[in-house]
Amino acid sequence: MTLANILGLLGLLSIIGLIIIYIIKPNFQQKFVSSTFIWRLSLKYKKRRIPISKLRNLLLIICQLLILTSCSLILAQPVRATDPTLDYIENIYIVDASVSSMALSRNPENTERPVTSRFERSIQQIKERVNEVFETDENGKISIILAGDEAKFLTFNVGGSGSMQVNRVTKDMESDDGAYLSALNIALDNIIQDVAIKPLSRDDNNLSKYCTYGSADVEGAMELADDVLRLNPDAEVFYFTGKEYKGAIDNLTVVDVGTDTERNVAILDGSATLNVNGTYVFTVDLAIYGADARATVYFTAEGVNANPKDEDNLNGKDYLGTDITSSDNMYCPEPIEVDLKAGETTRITFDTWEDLITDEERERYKDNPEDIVPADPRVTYSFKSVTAIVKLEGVTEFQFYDALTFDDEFRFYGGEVPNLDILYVSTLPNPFMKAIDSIWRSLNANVWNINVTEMTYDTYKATPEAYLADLYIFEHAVPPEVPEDGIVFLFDPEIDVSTSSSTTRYEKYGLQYLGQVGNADDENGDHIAWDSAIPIEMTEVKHPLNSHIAGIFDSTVQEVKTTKYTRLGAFDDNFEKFQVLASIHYDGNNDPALMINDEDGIFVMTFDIHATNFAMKPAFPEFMIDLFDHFFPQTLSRYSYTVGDTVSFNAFAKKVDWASRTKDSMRGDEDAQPFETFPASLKLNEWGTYTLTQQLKSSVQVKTQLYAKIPSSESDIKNVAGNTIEGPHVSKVEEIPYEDLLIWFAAALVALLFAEWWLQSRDNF
Amino acid sequence: MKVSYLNDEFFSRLETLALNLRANLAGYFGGKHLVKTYGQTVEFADYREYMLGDDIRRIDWNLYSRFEKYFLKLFTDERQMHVQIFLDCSASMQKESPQKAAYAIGVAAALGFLAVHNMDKVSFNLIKKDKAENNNGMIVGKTTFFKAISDLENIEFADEADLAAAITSSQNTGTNDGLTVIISDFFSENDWKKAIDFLTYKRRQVLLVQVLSLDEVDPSYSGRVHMIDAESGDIADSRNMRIRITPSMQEAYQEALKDYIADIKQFCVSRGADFISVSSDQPIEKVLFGELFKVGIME
Repeated sequence: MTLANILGLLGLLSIIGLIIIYIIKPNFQQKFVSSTFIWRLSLKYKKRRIPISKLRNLLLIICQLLILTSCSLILAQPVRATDPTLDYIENIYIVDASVSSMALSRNPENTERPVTSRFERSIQQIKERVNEVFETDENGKISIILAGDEAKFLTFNVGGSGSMQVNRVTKDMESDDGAYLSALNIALDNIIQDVAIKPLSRDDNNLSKYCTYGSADVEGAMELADDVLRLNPDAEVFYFTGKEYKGAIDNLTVVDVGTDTERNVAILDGSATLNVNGTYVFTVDLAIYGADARATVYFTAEGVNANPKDEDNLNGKDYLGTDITSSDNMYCPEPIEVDLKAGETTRITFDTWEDLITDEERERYKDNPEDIVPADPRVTYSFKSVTAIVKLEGVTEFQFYDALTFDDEFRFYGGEVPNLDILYVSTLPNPFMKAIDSIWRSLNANVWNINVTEMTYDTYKATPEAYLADLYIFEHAVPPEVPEDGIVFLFDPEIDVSTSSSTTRYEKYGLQYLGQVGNADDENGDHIAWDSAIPIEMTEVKHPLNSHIAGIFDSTVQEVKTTKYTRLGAFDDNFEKFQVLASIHYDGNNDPALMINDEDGIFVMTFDIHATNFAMKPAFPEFMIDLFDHFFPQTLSRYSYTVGDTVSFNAFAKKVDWASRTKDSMRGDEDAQPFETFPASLKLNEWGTYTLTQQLKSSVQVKTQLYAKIPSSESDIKNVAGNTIEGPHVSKVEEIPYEDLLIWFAAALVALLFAEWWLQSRDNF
Repeated sequence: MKVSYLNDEFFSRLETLALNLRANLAGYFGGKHLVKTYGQTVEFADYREYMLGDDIRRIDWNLYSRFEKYFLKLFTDERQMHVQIFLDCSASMQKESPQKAAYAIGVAAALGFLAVHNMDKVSFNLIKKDKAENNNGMIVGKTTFFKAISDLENIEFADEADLAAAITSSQNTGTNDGLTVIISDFFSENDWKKAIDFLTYKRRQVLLVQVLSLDEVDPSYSGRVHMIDAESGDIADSRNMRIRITPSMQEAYQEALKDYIADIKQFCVSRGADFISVSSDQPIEKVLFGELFKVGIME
């Protein structure tokens, strides 16, 4: 509904006048009476007011407001805008541009075009229908919507005397009045030629220019159709797809562009799981649609057990099984043949231990696993990638027999656990830290390959540049230079501060040395008794680690104390970098106990773990695990995705110079996409392998790969079982007598009138 | 507009009536009210045996001849009654309803006339604030009465009235010597019940006459009303009230008034006092010949 005379709404200003009248109206008439005594007594006899009484008091003004509003709306002349010239044919064509529309089918009888795609056939049919429309009605209009990963108009409401509005795909179709039909024909012909399947190679087409590798945005397409229907609710909507929808579809005509000759074999999904003995089992789910067939699955493992490849590491160990040929740790086991039934899913398992190793060999492995097992690529303990490919057997012209080839392949990644080097430097042996190392290793065995190097501070400081690590742990020592290629943990950074140059070491870490408290600085040189130890309290700083140490530093439950600590502050402008998680209140000072600098990757514990009960608290290991997880989050939580997914990934050890992704495709690697902030998000728009490359501070590049497959529902090129389409929401025009708002106002007025009458009648009787 | 019931016709209709007193009377002056004690009238009452000190002239010698014992003849006694009329002169009696005040004066005058007509004494006490003013003193005889009546018609009804304080502090309430009539609307939070207790302690017969205006019996106004009490000094007086008068509110008023009158009546019964409630729209004759007959005050 629109308003023909919007100035009529000025009548609403009278509501203000009405309200003013109500405000200034004398509400009470004065009367001299001598019976106020009885009136006061009568209040006790008054019946309890029912809640509706308040509404009843307001009824009059509500009625008056409604009357004024109604009058204003009448003045504003509400009208329904209708186009009096809608007596023309208008069609909306929606093209399914999902990956299933790239499905090919053969038609040997058509010698000119023996192989065509669904998309090509859709455009061809649309072209024919467009011409039919304009032959029937020269004032007809058409709209074409492409339902890819995001629905968009190819043409919007074209026809009549208006100039064409086109999007980038058909921008060459822009035309003046009268020439729109020929221009549209040319544009559609161009698309058909563009996506035409060449006789010798199915790959040499431009279908992906128009279709997505994921599912179609049908919902978005329907919303676009609604935009057209709002202009002309009588327009017919056609949806061109090869899928069969079983549910009822309103306001929509589905045009089937599939054929009976379409066949598709697919790997629907795959997974790599670890056996109890540490070897991998690869599983793929196979399916064929359209006809039964015999298929062969080829597994190719690359970079299997890559670490022992180095001859030095082999150290005289021998491969088991002389018939294995290995090049670059690549291994191709015997193909697996399987009979597939149409529409059924068949699971193939490739167990590198059970399937390939004989009993005799297994016994030998058992006797001498350390020497032999890691070197045998058949026994897969780790891998760089494993590729599974399914092919149909006994089919001529295979490349055109299979409707979709994007789902014939599946790649497994994540078989290599990245190395994480930890350098532990201390002036004293510390069993606590060894236990922590052990916990980190055991908990992160599937995520990191943790290598810990221990050394004394004297050894380290002789040639610090010789030792590179991802995590530096310094205990009782502060190295003169900050290792910038890794995270740094400073535990009890006590040093000999007799020289001023020593204190400048702290400043390089962004810290300021303020002195020692405890046995190191005691006036008498004595240790502080435990009873007089200084309590450590958690601060109110908001940090992910705070929630975990809350249980440790809760003084109502347990008290954490220390007998000595190093007083530290932030140096220069580093105040904002450091967050103090726990603090020590001593002698009027508020000194940090636990500090973290996420920007530079520095964690500081100012007290000695030997001089505190911190490490004896049950929650201490949890805190150390959280600390590790905070700085070393897993880059990817999984390695297999579906096109259309958005992947979130973390930076390696939170210290990278840059990161980028490349896409391995049939056309070669695409341009790198840079990332600067982490965790970063990556939208997967194509199927295949994506490589995430991260340049660490130490110039080492870490590569992580993931695989994006096309949606399993798209592999089932025919049926979309149980699915229905939410058709256009704008219905055809029907006369609705109660659509006018004034009717509702009138109904409300009458209802209120009756309500008041009823309430008054209650009062009178 | 001044309203008055007091005219010759009014008084002439009262001449056939008399006040009836149930209680015994003390006093020295003879009147028309028979009392239980024996006196000097000519009407024989009883015999009793002679006792030492009795007047031998009153011995009935006929009985002595028959019984050879001395018997005295006793005669009935009639005394004069003192009728005290307390009239509430607060503003609530007139401010909004002159007819109510005239009605109250009419009732007071009628009762006074009945007293003097039957050779009783009457005194008009005008209750103003916490004092009872008696400007005409004790009235005996019609000449003095009519002079007092003319004064009554010029009473100014104003301010408040504290019935309890005025009656208990009154100089001459008397003891066991007649009837006390209190004429008021009794719309007061003051404890007028103390006055009744005081008068019954003084062994006076008490009659309460409640005079209400038509608006008080059946309020005709409705809607949002700012009620200003007739006795209130200013607009901020706590007795004033804002109220939205609806039919249900009027029902509540009727119920409250009914219960309040019943409460007064019950109290009076418990103290042996009489009570009548009259509306100023009723004919005053109905009060005199109806209500007062009902309670037995009039005969």
